[in-house]
Amino acid sequence: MWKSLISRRNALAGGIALIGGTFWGTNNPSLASPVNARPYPWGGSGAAGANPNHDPNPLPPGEPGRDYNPTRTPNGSTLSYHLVENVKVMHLIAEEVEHEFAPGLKARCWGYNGQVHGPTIEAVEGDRVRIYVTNRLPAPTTVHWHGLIIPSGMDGVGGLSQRSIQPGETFKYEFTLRQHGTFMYHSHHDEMTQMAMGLMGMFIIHPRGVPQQERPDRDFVLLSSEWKIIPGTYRPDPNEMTDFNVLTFNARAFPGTDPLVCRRGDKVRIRLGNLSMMSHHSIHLHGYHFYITQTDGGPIPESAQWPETTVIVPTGSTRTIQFVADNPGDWAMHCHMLHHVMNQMGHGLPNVLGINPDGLDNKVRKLLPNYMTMGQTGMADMGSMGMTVPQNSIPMIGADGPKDYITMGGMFTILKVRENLPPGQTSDPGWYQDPPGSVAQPASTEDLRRDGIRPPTSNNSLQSHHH
Amino acid sequence: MVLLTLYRNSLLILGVIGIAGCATVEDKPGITDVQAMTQSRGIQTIQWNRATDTDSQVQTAIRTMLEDGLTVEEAIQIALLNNRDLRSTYESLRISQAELVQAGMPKNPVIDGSVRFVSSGGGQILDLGIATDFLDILFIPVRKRLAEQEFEKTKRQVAGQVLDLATRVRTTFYKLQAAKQILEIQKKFLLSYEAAYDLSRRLRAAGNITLSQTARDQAALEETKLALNTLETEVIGFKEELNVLMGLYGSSTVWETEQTLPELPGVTFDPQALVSQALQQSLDLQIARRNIETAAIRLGITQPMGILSELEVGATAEREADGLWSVGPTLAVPIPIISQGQPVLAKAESELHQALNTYYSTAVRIRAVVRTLYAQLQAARSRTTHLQEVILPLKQLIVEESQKQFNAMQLSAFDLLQAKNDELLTQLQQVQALRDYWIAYSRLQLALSGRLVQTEQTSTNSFTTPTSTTNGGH
Ligand SMILES: [Cu+2]
Repeated sequence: MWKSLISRRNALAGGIALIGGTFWGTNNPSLASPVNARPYPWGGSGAAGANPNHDPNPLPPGEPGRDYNPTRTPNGSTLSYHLVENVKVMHLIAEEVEHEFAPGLKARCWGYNGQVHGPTIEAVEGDRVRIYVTNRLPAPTTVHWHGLIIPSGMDGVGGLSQRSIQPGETFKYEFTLRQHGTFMYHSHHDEMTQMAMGLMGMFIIHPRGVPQQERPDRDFVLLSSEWKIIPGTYRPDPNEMTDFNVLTFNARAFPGTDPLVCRRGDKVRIRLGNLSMMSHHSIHLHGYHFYITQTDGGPIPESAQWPETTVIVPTGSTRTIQFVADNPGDWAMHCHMLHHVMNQMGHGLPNVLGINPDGLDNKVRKLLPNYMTMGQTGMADMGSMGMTVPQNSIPMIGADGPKDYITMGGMFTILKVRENLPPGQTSDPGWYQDPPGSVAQPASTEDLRRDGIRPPTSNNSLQSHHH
Repeated sequence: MVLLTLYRNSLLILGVIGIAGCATVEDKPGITDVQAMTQSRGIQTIQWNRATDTDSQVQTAIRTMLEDGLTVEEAIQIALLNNRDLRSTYESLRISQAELVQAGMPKNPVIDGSVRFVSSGGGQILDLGIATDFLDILFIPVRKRLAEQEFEKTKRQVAGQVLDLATRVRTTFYKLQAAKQILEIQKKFLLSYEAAYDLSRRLRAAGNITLSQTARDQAALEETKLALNTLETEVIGFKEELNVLMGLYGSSTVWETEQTLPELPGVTFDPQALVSQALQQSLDLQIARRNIETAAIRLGITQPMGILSELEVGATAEREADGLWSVGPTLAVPIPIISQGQPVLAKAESELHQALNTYYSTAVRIRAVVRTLYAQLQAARSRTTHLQEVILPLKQLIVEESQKQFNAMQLSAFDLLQAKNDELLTQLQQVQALRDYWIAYSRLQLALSGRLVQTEQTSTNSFTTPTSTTNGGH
């Protein structure tokens, strides 16, 4: 039903050959009909013989609605622009921002234009953009346009491409966009500190001339990153190397993540970027198959796309997945690296799983009246026990769900697909109303008897194993 | 020549005959004076029990005081009533008074003619070798004046021993209270290490930690038990020391103290007034003054007070800076009545100088002791205050926050117990500091009462910290 979508633009001014292959997968793989495309057999910049440092002739600025359907950045925003003689002029202000990761956890981070991460930059292939960057940080900075093919001097590597932007200075970056796809931007000066503090964002370039019926109905942008915020502190620790404890989509950790809201039948694209300090992410979507249609290197030929339920997004990369939202429900989408769905989990503690706590609490309470043994059966209760925790911390906390407590945090969000949703609604429609008989329930006695299932009467049998 | 000199003083002879006639040995001589001296120095009542009939009343009073929690004042009271060493000290008043009476009587002619006056310094003079009744009668007034000096000295020595005993009871009592408080804290340490080992055993039973980790936790617990044992012995030691001071034995050794040391008092000493108060009250200086008088009498100086009034002024703090002190030891001694230029005279002169020097050195030492004790007192006070008002609240905050971090599974139960141990250690240091304060306080009080105390390091660090202050290697 949904055929492949190929950018019709064969050439941009300046002679860039662009062949974008996009495929609308559905949860019925038989509908897939990929089309072969080998855009850059040997790799390269895609400049096809032209010198990318030369100023190409830009096309007239692309317009939202006419030329593309705008993306949506859950928990974030899109950077505004204004036109000056057909150039899209934008302004990024790097500054300290007090950012909330989830209710109960805030920190002093570094972001752009008062938010963390920075707003999503959105433009159209062939646009000329002029981006001013003002540094209101206490340290020099630069902005690198990750994945963009632009003149070397615009690449934003401090010291290599340019002199770094001193506090108080405003620099001007200007280039023509000669590609489409999902890209990123981030500080490239003292990245260890500045990316750990959040200086990053997404850079989306739409193809030109895609007919409306071939554009996505929902185009989501999610940027992953990771942080070290010790419970009870108020600033990410940029010295951390491995023990990151806050893992985020768009700098939010569940239950702070906004859902991805779709109407049944919508063509859905999710652009996943990863600028984590040290981690790759295996992003798993429940309820669907999808196709990985693009990387930040460009479109994947349809012949090379295959159905997936999980996409690995290496750090420093983007992956774009597509599917038709034809399966209504509340569907989890999360990183499958399990420590990435915990909030501020502590490590280096003794393993208390399986210990017998009888009588221990009373003994310890003579000294510490609020003591309670925890973890002997796992960590699931941690969020819902309501114990006093350090100020400004969300240790292990998930959220109340419609049926029980959701024992997930971090890189966890929900794809909400609804039958009847007003077109254009992006706000949370609430919990899914399951059709009768479609929710797992406690087994009835009749069911058990009919099917010959005899559960053990107690769990004594488990304990007797030890003896 | 000697005779001539003595004859000149005819007034002296008349005086001797007058006094000698009415002297008798009293039952409890001088005790009223001693009472007055100790009362003005903070001791309410002392009692000299010689007869057994008063003893039963005394024992009843003691039993009553022992019944409920014993206070420090009650312990002092009991010691003053019941300490047998003190009773034997009281007897020296009677001995001294007896000597005074004896000094007023003509010597038995049969006895060897030499006249001996045994002073506290052991010196003997006027050993003139003239053994006649007549001469002996002439010497009676001198002997009597000397014996009076001895009696006055004895009163002050007895008063000093009363004060000493009260101070020893006081400091031992505070040490006992502190040791008991420290013992209670050590019991909490034991609870903590028991809980840690208990948890460790459960972790081991679940198969989650190694045997060596559990063994480490058990070793820490066993060491804590040893420390507790040491402290229990220490409590017994202080209690027995008090039994000795209070003269208790048998069933009367069953008593309990008030549980905790008193809080820091609000009143503080005025450091400016301390030295002069200690000098003015000084029993030691009064005794030294009597020694000067004794030496002067032996040398035949009729008005030793002429020297001494000057000395007494010099002994006060107000005059310390004006240089009077330095001229003191070179003070010219007036011409003695016995001026035969014999070696005996030279010796007597030197003993006067010795007595003067001792007077000065005692005054110097009192000043230094008072300043040292005051410094110790202030150090213990500020240490106590700092532990109580700054460090302990911090340690408590750390425990509170560690509890939250434990709740958030950021800290282990072992870490949480360790935070509690750190708080207990501060509690313990606070008890030690408060104990040191009260010991310094008691000793300073004694110095201000006019009794010279030897300064010593008050901080007897009795507590044995468990060798392993961290819980295993978790
Ligand atoms: Cu991940």
